[in-house]
Amino acid sequence: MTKPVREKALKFGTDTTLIGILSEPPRGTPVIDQPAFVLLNAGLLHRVGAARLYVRVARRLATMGFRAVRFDFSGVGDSDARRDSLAFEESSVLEVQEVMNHLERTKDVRQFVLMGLCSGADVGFNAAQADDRVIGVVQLDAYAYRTLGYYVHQYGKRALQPEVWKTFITIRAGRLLGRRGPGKTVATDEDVVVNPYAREFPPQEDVAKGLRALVDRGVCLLNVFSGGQPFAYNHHGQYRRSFRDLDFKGLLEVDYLGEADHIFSGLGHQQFVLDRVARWMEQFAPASTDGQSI
Amino acid sequence: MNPFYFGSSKRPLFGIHHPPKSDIQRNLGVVLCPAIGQDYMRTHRGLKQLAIQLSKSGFHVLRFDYFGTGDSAGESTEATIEQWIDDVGDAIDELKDAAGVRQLSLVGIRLGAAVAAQAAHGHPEVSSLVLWDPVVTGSAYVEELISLGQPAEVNGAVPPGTIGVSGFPLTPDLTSGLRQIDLPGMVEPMAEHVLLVVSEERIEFDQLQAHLAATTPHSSCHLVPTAANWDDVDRMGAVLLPQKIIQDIVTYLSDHD
Repeated sequence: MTKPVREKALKFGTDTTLIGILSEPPRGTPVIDQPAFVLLNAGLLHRVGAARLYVRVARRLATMGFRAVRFDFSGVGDSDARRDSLAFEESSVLEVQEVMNHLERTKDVRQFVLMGLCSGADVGFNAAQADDRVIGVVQLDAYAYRTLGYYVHQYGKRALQPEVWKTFITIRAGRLLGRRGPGKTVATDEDVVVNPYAREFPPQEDVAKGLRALVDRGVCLLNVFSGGQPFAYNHHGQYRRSFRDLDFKGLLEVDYLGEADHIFSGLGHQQFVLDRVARWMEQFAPASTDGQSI
Repeated sequence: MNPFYFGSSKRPLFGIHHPPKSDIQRNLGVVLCPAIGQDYMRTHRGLKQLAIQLSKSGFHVLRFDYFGTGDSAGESTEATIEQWIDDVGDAIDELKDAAGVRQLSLVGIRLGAAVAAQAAHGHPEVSSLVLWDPVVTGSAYVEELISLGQPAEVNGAVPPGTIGVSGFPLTPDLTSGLRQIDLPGMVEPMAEHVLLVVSEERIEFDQLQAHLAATTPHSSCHLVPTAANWDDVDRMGAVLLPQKIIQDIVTYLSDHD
């Protein structure tokens, strides 16, 4: 019988109290000392992740020997709200660093891989740029940008028709004038709490600059896109083509699950993500682990 | 707020203890019994808020996840109703030990209400029970889930016959256990005091109310109209936080301590 992953509740943080779970390898399994894996909330979904995906990823990696932490950002799940007025874009990066500091202090972990879905992917990308301890990032439905291929896949031969472009230009102009685009949320009912983080994709050149910095640092990247962002991403190969001027130096791997929704709710899609992340993480597992068995 | 694991070391359950944050000394501890699946995701924040409000009113409160759900041990495919009823028993024992209380109340939401009702029956120290938008009959609930689901195409990873419902596996074992739930069919009183609190009018709530009136020493029903689309899948992660129902439950338990 397989020995269970060992899990412990964490309570940490200096500016506010953050709650998380540390998953560690089963007794008898050699521990891979570096890197540890950190999972980042998707929107308001608490740390277990959409349909418990984060729990499964953390435990799967722990059986491989990695330490994994899933935690809640301030004001999400079980973590307290912050008392300062920092925007989520700033506080989230600080809080990822709080987790890393905690693991460095308590487990002597100095290298990290971050993983997130949607807004969690955005935070992972931002935190990786802000902190050299991050050596890998897994993004599910990361920032994406349309290419010519996008329009061909979206409209097929219709892309060659002037009416389609007229409609597109009208919509685009509307957005530039401040009309609401896709992805924003608003309160609709007093009983509903919506995600205050209105996801807007930054200018493409800013993301390219960030990616270049990560690649120059040797950070490994795994991106998995679902079919749940059809307004931005719709075919295999789009990501690389949207950053065609960038040499990823073999550090980028990309998958596209067109049938999957944005939270990968299909059981087969969850299994794909689980297996894909585990396989990708093998690159960080030494052939014969020098880590200590506990 | 203290997060921790409790219960058997082979099947640890995740819980959060909210100690009282008030000078009022209460004799009653409160165990919150969560929903499952997408209901669980949507109600997590509401139960946290309920726990905070109850602790501010002087109660010891324990939130927890059943085996195979949330942060507790176990795969989602290993979950059964029988196990979850036992888990409520473990949570009751844990809160009694941690808080030194002898009387308890169980508050269950959606399927958690049905689990709580069955668990309360075997624990005389449970003096009151709150059923929040309960699953009244398991067969109707299963049909509801199946209508939202699709056959799982994960070879070998889930038991044959499993259906995926908003990302959660509905296994044949779980389906079979769910179908046994029939709150109006429970002959013995669930507890001395029972509150049925519902966010909308439904025939099955009327039937349950009539049953409670006939079998329970002290029962009441509160209709508090609020959003009730518990199982909605909001891909931006919006969650429900029905403040009026939360306040109603806090008031009820404060009055019955």
